[in-house]
Amino acid sequence: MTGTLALVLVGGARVEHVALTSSFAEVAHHPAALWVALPPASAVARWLAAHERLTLVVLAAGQRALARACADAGDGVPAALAALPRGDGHFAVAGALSSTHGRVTARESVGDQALFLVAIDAADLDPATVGGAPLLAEVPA
Amino acid sequence: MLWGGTVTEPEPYATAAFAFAGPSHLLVNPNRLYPVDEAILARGAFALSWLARSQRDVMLALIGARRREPDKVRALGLAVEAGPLDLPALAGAPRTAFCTLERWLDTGDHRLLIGRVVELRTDAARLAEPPLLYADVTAAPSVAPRLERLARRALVATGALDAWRRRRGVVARPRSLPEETYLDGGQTEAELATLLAPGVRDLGRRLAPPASPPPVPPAPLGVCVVGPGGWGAVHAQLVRAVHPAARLYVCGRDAARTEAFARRAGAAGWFTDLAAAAADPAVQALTLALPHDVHRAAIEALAAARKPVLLEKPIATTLADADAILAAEVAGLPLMVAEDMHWRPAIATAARLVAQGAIGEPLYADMVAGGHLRPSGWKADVARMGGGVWLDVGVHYVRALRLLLGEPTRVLAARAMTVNTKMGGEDSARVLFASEAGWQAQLLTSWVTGRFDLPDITLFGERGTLCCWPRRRWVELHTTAPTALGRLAAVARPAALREWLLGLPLGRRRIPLDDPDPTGYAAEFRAFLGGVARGALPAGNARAARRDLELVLAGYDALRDGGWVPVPPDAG
Repeated sequence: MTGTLALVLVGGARVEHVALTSSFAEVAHHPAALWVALPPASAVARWLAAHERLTLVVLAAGQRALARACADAGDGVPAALAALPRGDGHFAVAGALSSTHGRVTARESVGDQALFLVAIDAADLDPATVGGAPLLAEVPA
Repeated sequence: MLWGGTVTEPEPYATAAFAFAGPSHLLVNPNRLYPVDEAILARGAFALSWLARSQRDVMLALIGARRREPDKVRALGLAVEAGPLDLPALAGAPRTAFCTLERWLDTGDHRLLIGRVVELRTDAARLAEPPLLYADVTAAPSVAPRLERLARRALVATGALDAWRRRRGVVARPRSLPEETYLDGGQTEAELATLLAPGVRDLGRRLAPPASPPPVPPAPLGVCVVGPGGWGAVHAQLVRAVHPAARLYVCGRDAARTEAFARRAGAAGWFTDLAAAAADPAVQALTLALPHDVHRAAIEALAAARKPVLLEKPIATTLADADAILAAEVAGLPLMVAEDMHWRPAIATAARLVAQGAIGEPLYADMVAGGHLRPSGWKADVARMGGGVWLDVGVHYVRALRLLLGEPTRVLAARAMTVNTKMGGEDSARVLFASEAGWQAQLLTSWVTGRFDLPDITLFGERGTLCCWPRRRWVELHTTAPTALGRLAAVARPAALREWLLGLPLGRRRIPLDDPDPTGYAAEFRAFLGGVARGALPAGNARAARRDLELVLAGYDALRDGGWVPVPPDAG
């Protein structure tokens, strides 16, 4: 099954944890919201048990190396993201299709996944990549 | 493509927002304004078909479909196949997941539906194709994507893009994404209630335009035109035009007039007695072009012969007479009531375009019909005619309204001063029909004002306007969707050039009709004579004509009453 890949970034002044996922989508236009599913035991899911803010970064087709680095980093943070500054109170990844920032408003258990409902506050769109191709991956279904 | 309902009542919905949550669960979030949401909740199951890039046109058609169209599959010509749980799916989709609805979350104007996957089906032939992505349907395909990407990067790197946006006042990042998302397409609960008040589906349309009838089989038929007047001559011409091998006969009360008519029409014989004409073995079918008040008596005289009859509209002048005519049909008389509007190709084309979403939700219809005419003889006698121009012409446009928009639920009518004092019925009338499904239609019928070359039917929708002319071989579609030329015109300088360019019909498309005869008369006679030759007339025709009359009479009630009058529900 082909899925679009995204990163979920959480942290304070710096990125503390990152997760690679293809389980996400918008939820509603009003209130503007998205959902993302993560393994409940992942570092990001554990972080979100105590904190509410996250950034969902939809990766562009040219960011395969970044996706690979995140996948290989396990619970850690790859170097490319470790020094990512929190500009305007949000993380924004250059070259990505979008970086959407929000607050977790609900958590549901769906199968073996933790589903997070996220109220959207803002988004960064990189003008160089708007309308570009997303990074796709074959994901198990 | 998300599917609700069943394989016999499929409800498709275009979506790009879905994902698996783990291998066992699939999440989708349909817009609550669309019928699919209700269909999935009612059945507790749904299917999701992934499309290949080569299926882009299918998805574009679904995206453009009318939101409240009750039968999108037929309107768009989608191919549906059955899956487990009697779920529908797009035939030929590379992958389809069939799910039971495990639960749903109340998340605002889109509900989040959580499904458990019960079966994943694949089409091996299409699996190798690239998938259809959101960007593939939200933008025109790029002819040179790499060049486009390079150009965009250059514009960003040099600061040219930012400078241009500052100059145009374009803000790179929304100040408030939630607010802008809501303003662009979000709905509060109160707004949802307002938008859903006329129904999530428009179920008010009971009649659909028929397909263009095939040619009449070549074997000769004996056809008797009853009523040697002006309209009888039109019947004779139409019989000749659609079935050159037909043997024509004529029937009228006045022997001299009937014989003269028969001679002019090249008829094989003529009659002065209706029962004798019907009993003659040379006559296989009859067409009736008679004064309105004798329709019932003529049908009752023909009932015993049981030969196919084409009766001119209106079916009768009273519902009691119409019911007697229907009773004759039920008793075995093959009957079709003539209504050219039913067969008019512009109506079929316009109805198809409406169903496909060309004008979005239809809101208003304007129908202007008639033209200068000074009726004489029985047409000027209100007792024989059953009314005036509203009955004689309005009955056509009532049918057009029913084919295009559906059944009205109330009616209001008024009229200007009388001009022609030589006719007993009204010489003009303006009638406004309204439906609980959300639309209104104004029908202006007049024999004392000019028609000129104006469209006789104009449909106004949220996304466009459709115009039909009585004798043009196309319908015109004016859409609000911006065109490339329109965008260029908007920024053209100097101002005089811009104004001139904006005055051009840039958003206009002419859609040709399927039938070379734009009036519908030839198709109507093909349907009748073809039905005679094949032994089966089009079904339900007389009952539809009775309903037309019922609506016309409700218009007269409103004219007398001066206020809104409820329309009796369609018993059809």
